[in-house]
Amino acid sequence: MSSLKNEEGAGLLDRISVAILTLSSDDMRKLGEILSAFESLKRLAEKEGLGSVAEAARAADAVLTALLFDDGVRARWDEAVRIVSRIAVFCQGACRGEKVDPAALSTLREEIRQSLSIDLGESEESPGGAKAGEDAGPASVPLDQDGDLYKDFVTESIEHLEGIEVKMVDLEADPGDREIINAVFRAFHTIKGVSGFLNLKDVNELSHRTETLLDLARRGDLAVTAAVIDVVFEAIDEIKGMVRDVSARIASGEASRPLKDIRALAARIEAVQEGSGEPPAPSSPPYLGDVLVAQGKATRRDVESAWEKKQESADPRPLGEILIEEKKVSPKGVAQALRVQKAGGAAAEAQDIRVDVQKLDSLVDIVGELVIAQSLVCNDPDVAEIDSQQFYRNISQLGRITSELQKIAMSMRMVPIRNTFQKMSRIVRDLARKSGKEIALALSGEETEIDRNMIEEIHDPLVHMIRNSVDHGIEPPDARKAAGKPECGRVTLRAYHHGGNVVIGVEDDGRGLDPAKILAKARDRGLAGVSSPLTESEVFSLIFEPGFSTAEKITDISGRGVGLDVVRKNVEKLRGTVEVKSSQPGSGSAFYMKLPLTLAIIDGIIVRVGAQRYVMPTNNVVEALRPKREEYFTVEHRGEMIRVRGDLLPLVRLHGLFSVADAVRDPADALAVVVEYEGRKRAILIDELVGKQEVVIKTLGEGMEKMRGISGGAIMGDGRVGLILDVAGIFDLTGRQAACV
Amino acid sequence: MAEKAGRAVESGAKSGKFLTFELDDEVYGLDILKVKEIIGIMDITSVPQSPPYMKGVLNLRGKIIPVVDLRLKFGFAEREYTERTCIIVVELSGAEGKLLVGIIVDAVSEVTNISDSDVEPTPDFGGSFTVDYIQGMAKIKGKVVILLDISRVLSASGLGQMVGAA
Repeated sequence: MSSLKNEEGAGLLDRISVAILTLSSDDMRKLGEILSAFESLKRLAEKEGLGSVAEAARAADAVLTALLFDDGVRARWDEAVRIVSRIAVFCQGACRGEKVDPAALSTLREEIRQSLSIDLGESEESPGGAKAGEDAGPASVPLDQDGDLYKDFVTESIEHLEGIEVKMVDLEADPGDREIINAVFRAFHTIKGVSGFLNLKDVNELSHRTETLLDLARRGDLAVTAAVIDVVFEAIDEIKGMVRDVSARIASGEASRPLKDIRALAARIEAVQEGSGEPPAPSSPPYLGDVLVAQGKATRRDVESAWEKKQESADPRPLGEILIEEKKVSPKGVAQALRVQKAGGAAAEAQDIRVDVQKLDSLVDIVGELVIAQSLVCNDPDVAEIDSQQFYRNISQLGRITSELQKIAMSMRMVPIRNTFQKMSRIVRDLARKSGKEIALALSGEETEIDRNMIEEIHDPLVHMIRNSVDHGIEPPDARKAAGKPECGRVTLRAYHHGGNVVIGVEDDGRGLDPAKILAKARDRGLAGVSSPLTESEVFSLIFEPGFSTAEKITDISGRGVGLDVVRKNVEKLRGTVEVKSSQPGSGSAFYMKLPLTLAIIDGIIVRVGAQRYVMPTNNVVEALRPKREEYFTVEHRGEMIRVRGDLLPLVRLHGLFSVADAVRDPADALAVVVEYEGRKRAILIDELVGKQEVVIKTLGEGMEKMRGISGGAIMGDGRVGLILDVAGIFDLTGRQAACV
Repeated sequence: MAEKAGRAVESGAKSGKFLTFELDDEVYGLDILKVKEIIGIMDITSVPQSPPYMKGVLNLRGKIIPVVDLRLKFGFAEREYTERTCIIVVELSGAEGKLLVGIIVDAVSEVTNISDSDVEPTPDFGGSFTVDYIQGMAKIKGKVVILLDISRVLSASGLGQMVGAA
């Protein structure tokens, strides 16, 4: 379309990119080269009427000029260079003829103004939209134009907001930390930019206001008080609500969305903004000198004298260079310090790419098939007749590769538990606020990996356990003081791998569990017998019984009758267990969830009934035995029982339940598998045990998944489908049948 | 977009490419766009407490899909599977996205072009014989091809009811 796409334009941009890439700190000569390249680009773009490129080039021009001549900007070297390189990327896209995203440019302009304090003068349209919602009451925004853009926006914003939440909690602990404010500011800024582009005026307006507030804090014109943090949290929640609203409306296919009224919150932000004007704290990126001193690479005196020298002689070189020249610090030391200085801004970014879950699942499926196909080939009778060393070496090599591939494929579903833990820090903060307690949350083992699906499932039980610890565990500050403990309570979230399981623990240093009190309460509620002596752990496990709650008063947080039994139920649904430890009253308690690494794989016992094979989840199986004839009883010739070590257990005939023909009918010739669920036991009659195997759980497909007694299917070693028994469902089914009888 | 196209086929346009197959001596046609693949008969794991026409589930390259015996679904007598017996895997849009279902037929015949002019509306057979899953009847080479709206065959009275039965 335009000759900017020709070699001249491309060459210019290539030169710029390379120069930026190789630009070392304070290399003024190269900076000049980049500047002149951008100037040529600007002229070219103006000639050809590529307004956005010209404007971008002008912006780059301004930043580069400032970098050359303005010390204030030079102090923010990295940020400025980053912006310039983004401008270059933008121009490259535009010159290649890609669709130009006007928001990107305005975001860049805005960033230049905000973070580098460079006035771009002739700024035409700012995405800030400070005026956008001022007098506009609720209106509506069309959503149907570009669904994907909105969807991306939703995912990204939620991610950003969650990140912000964590950072705000950190910020509260350390209100002077500029890096945190910067990070939060940037996140709001991104949300603002994109929402402006998508015309989500309410989101845009609110994030703009919050950003303004944060900007003041960032520049040190506003002290980060509890009020500021609270109002930011409020804004986070509000924006989250709006974003969820957007996502819900897209999901339900609505074409537009009414704007939310944010005037009340905006007023609160303003009030906070004006409420305080406290002295500025030290400025944002740490000074190189400070870093060097902190790292012990230079003494403060060296740094100061070098700085003075620089000031006196108006030496344009950066401090690092002067220090190197004076041999006070090794170049390596300066480089390291610069890296630290740089690292402050960008929070650790994980090296990862987004992959569609469906793609991942089908990869796992296909790898599973590969494993089956491989074993079919290896066990083929014709193959077994081959008499060749070489062939068997190759076959075993194939086996190793496939199993390695399977391991990798399975591990791709695993994600660190970090995000879930970080979400908890917000919850702890809110809970502590509400209950008037001081609580510090410590995290440990955040890098522990767990299945992606599991992450979502453990959220609720974890919140419940944390609530329990905060509300019932940690005492109010005065009570803690009286007990000789620090006023600030401590809750530790811990995750680690233990024998093929993931253990997630919530530990607190609160009042702990009082076995006597629990027992009395349990007896009171009829949850425990009066006479039977119980071990301590048995007593503790009583708190997971339905209808047990020891909180004396009902609070906003917990104690509304929804007890820990829900936690146990949820955890058991995930095929895990939950346990509690408390060494002595007053020294805290610890709750541990032990969970399988993944929901996708089940450790199963394969049983045969007639010609059918079923998979029984191993964690439900207590034992298997051949019932003796004299231990088999019937009730009115219908209800059947067997006696296992003194316990009378109802006998469930699987072949009867699932109408399997040609199964063994005489219990004395068959096997009984004792299964347990929620403390109840039954004996399930089967023909024989085939083996033990880890199988990948799959749904039977829509319409089949609600089948009672079957929780899913698994592909067995021979490529056929085996059904996985749902013990809970079988209990329900047999319970119903018993009721009918 | 794909969904819209699917709807258009279901509701109005009856012309297009159809896969024809046999059940006893009757010939049926199935919109080719719904057909994912055709496989020979393979091991099927029966699922308890499901209606007789639900033959069970099978492993389609790592995915478990339900299989419906169309003979039983239409009330034909059960018949031994032969090497002509085929499973046509069709793709339907379910509540949770795409849904694959296998349907067992006596034999697959051919893919044929059917134009609007060949198609006659479904006659009213009267009584309780509901034919809402029949798109129409096409006459091709002197034979009548019954055009099925396979998603109706499987969803309206099919998989949904099966859940209820369980």
